[in-house]
Formats: sequence, structure tokens, C-alpha cells
Amino acid sequence: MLAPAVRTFGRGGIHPDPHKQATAGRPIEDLPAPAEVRLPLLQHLGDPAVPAVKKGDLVRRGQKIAEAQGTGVPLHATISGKVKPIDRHPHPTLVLAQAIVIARVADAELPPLEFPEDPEWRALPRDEMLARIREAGIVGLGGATFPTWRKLQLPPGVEVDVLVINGAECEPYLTSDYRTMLAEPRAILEGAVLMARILGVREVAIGVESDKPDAARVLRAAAAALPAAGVAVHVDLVQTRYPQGAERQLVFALTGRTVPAKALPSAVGVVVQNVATAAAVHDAVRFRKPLLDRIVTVTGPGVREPRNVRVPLGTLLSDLVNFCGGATDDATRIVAGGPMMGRALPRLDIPVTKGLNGLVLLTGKGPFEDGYGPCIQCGRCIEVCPLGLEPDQVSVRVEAGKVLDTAPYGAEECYECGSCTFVCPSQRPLVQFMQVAKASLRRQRETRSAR
Amino acid sequence: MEPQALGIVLWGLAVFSLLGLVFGFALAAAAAKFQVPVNPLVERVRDRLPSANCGACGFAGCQVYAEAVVQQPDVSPALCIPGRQTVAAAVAELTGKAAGNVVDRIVVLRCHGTTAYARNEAEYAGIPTCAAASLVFGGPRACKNGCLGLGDCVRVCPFDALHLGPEGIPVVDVEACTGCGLCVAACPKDLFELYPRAHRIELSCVARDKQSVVRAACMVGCILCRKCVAKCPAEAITWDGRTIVIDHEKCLAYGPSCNEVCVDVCPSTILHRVGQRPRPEVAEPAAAEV
Repeated sequence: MLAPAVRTFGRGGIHPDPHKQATAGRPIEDLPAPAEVRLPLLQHLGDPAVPAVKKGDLVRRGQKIAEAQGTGVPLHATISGKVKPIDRHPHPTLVLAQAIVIARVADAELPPLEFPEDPEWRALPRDEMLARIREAGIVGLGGATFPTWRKLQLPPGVEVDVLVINGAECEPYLTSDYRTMLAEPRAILEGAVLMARILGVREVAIGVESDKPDAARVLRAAAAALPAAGVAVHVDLVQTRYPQGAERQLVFALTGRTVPAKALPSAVGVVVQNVATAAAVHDAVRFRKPLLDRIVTVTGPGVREPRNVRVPLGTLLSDLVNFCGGATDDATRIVAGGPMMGRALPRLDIPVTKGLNGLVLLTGKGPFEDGYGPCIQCGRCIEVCPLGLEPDQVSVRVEAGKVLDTAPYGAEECYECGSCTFVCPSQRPLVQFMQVAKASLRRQRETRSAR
Repeated sequence: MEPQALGIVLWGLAVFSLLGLVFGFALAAAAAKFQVPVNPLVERVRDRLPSANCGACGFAGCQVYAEAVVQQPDVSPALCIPGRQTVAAAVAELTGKAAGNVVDRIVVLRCHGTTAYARNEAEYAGIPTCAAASLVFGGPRACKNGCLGLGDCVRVCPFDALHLGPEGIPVVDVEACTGCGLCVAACPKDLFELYPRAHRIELSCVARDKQSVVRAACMVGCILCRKCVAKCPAEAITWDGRTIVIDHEKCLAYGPSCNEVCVDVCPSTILHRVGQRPRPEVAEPAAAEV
């Protein structure tokens, strides 16, 4: 018998060493409430939340501490405690940003809020479901942190017919989505059906990479057990190939549709949500439970006891690393996120934010520490770019100080998967050149529109 | 020489001369027919401009500015900043417009985070430009507002007025600086500010954080104690709620009778006289009450 062709994307892609064995077999563990959390007002794409508490206030876990504003989402206390002065603190992506700091008070004195089930939760009107999702502060937990309520509220004239649930988790080292799929398949499925009802779609496609067949099996079993809701759910294995979990690549693999450049998947009738987001949506609609924790994979050769941890948002990375046995003596680099798309951080007094799916500590020399060579025009970066962009052309123009001439080579379309840098035989920081070009082009556009 | 060979030479000369004449007349006719009228005044204005193509006038180079100033009545002849008053007067005379006053400015680097004074919190490996380094958690310096010392400004300066000094930050050559402002746009930390060429004091820091944060990162960071604001008799130094602002016109107008008291009260020595460098080793310990 012929094996069915495994679904995958069209062009480019790479096969990095997965490095997932250290944490793939470890169930999710709960981090005990830390002594302090720092909750940045901006942990999502959109307008920052506005503080609703002041210094000295006592807050309970689950209580709203900052109101949503404009395109944003609200923020909730993730531990019970006392509010410290609101000030600028280190932030994983914004470097320094306003944050609400809460010092823990014992649960006995200040018990966390309870979130009982709403018996009517399956029959709620669409607007009520959207309102609960926004009130819960849910954003895309795959890392992009786009507010989920906005993604589910399609602009007029846009129609979608498929909801894609992203369980690919193609980043090396990370297993947080994998463990979530094994631990909460029911919540993921229920959340997916709720979102399908909000969007008015009848088909939900869940994509799981072929190296996680057990996750696909568990999800299929949960799908079979779902009460009929007029929504067809199918779980599909997709090829283990980086960047399979990128939105465009997964949409192509599961539906055969190509998202046009600079357009959203909704342009081809698809909305994509991460598995952890689906589970959070379920909790928000069924229990009115806000997003208080997230699953983070703490791993890498620089961590003594790699683990998958459920951690209250705002917990400092140092507390998280200590929970995992601390850093090894030879740890040299901290990466927030996976090694392909994550960001290098200089220290650990930085809080866990909604978009952080992994923390990888690495040892030894980093890339580019011995410098890098000139472009030898081999074209391998173009071959592996899943979007067919030309990182080589962008890189030589940035080097020559001609940043504004990079637009024709796709600098603005790049979503920074890093495949080009991975294969470059000259070890050039190609994705970093892309980032510089993107930042400069954005800056130029902003100054132009300001004039 | 064979007579036959001579014939070939003469024929060749005749044919090519004729061809040359025909093409010459054709080109002359085409040049006359397709001539683009050029205002000779544009050429003359263009010749008076400095040819740095720096763009400080707001136009895309000297040629475009020359065309604009000649053809558009509302374009001022005093926009060429590197050319200063001389060029403005010449352009004004050529175009028959009033020159007015050109503000003579130079650029000041508002950071003195040398390798000796500003701490690094990480090592940076990658593209050796400030634009790239600043994308990695604001760069390797512990101070997230300060100079990264990788010289993006040096590379864009068309007047060779910026050089990376031995202390890890760029140094402005005040003689060569024309105040064109290209470095202002190139710095990802927005550290360059255009000051009037004549000014008495410089605040070489843009810190916006509280004392504990600044002190942990840099020995000469401004801690926003605002003693200078309180002491200035000319009210030329003010606090806008976020940062310290110096009004150099007021400062100059008041004159030297204040003895630059603001400089003497600065606990970080970061507010300093022109040409005098911050010297934290002689400063008093930072005031504790802030």
C-alpha cells in the first residue's frame, strides 16, 4: 500500500536538528507562584493597556489590573499581591516599557478569583463570545501576540471558510505546543469549534508535524468525542520541515491556497490560530477565565533540568531558570523563543510575556562571533527562502549603505524565519540584514507619512 | 609604397570623411530639434552650491535645489545649510530673492558613554552597525539610550566631520561640521542634536531614567536631578516633564555673568562647557535624595 503523501508547503525550507528530546517526554509542570511578577502594559500588538490599579492596591489572581484601549486587550493580575509603583522595566522585545509590578501576598490572605463554568457557554451569541475573548486578554500565543478578538472579527466584505489550527511547532527545541496538545486536546478542540462558530466557518483543519503522531492521535480521539456542532474537524499530519508552522506555509500545506504577498490568510478565506490560543479561548468562553499563565519550554544545553513549565505571566526568567535547576556554568547565551526566530537577551531579570513560548540557554560560541564572510553568490539562501525572496541582494545593499534600495528584493515581506542564515556557507547574518532593512524601510515610511 | 595601396588609403579617407560629415550634420540637426531649454541661471546657482548633495535643504541634492530655488518663487535662497551665509547671499543675488539669516548650526553628540564610563552588559556579535546592534535588545551597552559606538554617523557624514575616537564614541570636528543633519537621521538612538554654532553649554546625555537605573549603567549619565534647572539665573534650562531642555538663545543673551553655575552644580559633570569634557572622577558622589 502506498503511504498517503504528507502535506507540506511548496518552496524552500530546511531540516534543522530538532533538539526536542530533552523536553518532549516531560509533562507540563506548574511553577509555584513567584515572589514578584512584572506585567508590561504592552504584551500584544496594538495599543497598550491603561492601568486600573495604583501603588499599594491589593489585587487577587485573575483580577483585571489594566483596561484595554483601542486595538489592545486588558491585563490581569497573575498572582495575588500588592501593587508596587508602576515604572519602566526591562521588556523582552521593547527593551524598556511600563509595567505593573505585583509583590506576592499569601493565597490564604488574598485568595485567587474563582472562575465557575457558565452552563450556557455552548449557546452564547457571537458578540458575547468575542467580548469574553477580549476581556480575557487573549492574544496569539504562537508568538505573534496579535489580539485574538481582532483576528476573529473580520473586516466587512472578507469571508473565510476554513479555520486552521496550528500545532506544527516547527521551531527546534520547543515542545510547549506539543505538550499542550497532549494535555488539553479537549480544550483545544472546543476552543477551535467556538472560534469556527464566531467566524461562521464549517471546516476546522488542525495541522500537526509528522514527528508528533501521538499528538495527532490524541487530537483525533478528542475530535471524535466532540458533540456535533455542524463543524467538520480534521487533524492532518504535515511534513516535519522548517518553517512548516509559519502561517503561509501551513495554510498552503492544509488547503493548497497561496496567501498573496503582504496579505493576510483571510485574503484566501483562512484564519490561523495556534493550539494554545484555542485552549485559552475555550477557558475564556466557558469559564470567563482570563489568560494568566502560559506554557514555556525551558531547555537547551545551558539548562540543568529542561522542563515544560506552566508559568504565571510576568514571572522573571531568572525564577523560571531556577525552577529548572538553574543555568549550567558554561551557559553563554539566552534566547527568548526558539533558536531560529527567537531573540537574544542580555540578562534574566526580564518577565515572561504572552508571546514567549520558549527559553533556550545555549553554550559555546554563538554565530558570527568569528565574523562572517562576503556573499559568494551561491544562491542557497534564495533556494531555501519559503517566500522566494533574495536575502543575498538585501544583504549586499545593506552593507553598501543602500538600505532603501532593498525593497524590490522582498525585505518587507520577510517574516524572519532564519532559513537563509542557517544555510549560508559564508555564515552571513542574512536574516539580521533583512531585519535592518525592514526597520529602515519602516522608519522611512513613518517619517514620510509624518510630513 | 605601391600606387594601388595609396588608392585604398585615399578612398578610405574620402569615404569616412563623408560619413563623418553626414553623421555630424545629423547629430547637429537632432540636437537643435530635440533641445531641452535650460535656464542658464540654474547652472549658475548650481555652481555656487557646495555639491555635497547632503539633502539638508530638504531637496534631493544640489541640482534639484538649484532648479527649485530658481523656478519656484516661494523656495528660500537660504536653505543651503553647509553653504552658510556666503552661499545664501550669492544664491539670493542670482535669484533676486532676500537671503535672510541662515542659522549656523553644528551637531552635538548627546552622549559621553565612553568605554571607560559606560558599562557593557553583553557582547554583541553580528553586523557591525548601530542600526543592526540596536535591534538586539537595544544593543550591548547597559544604557539603552546611549551611543553604541559602531559609527553609522561616521559613515554618512559627507564632510568628514565625524570620527570614531579612541574612547569608543564618535568625536565631532567642529570646524568641519556644517550642521547638515545627516547624522541626526542616521543615529538609531537619536543622540545627535543640532545646536547653534555659538553656544556655551552642552548636555551630553539624553537619559530618561531614574538615578538607580542610570548609575548602574554609566558614570556620566544625567540623573535628572534638575539642579541646573533650579540654579540657572536666565531660566534658560527647563524641565518639560520628561527631559531637560536648554534654550541656547536665552543662555547666550544672559551672558557670562552667571559663570556657568549650572555646570558647577551638575553632580554627574555631564552638563559641561563647550570643549570641556565630563570628568566623573572629580565629581561629588551623587546626591542621595533623588
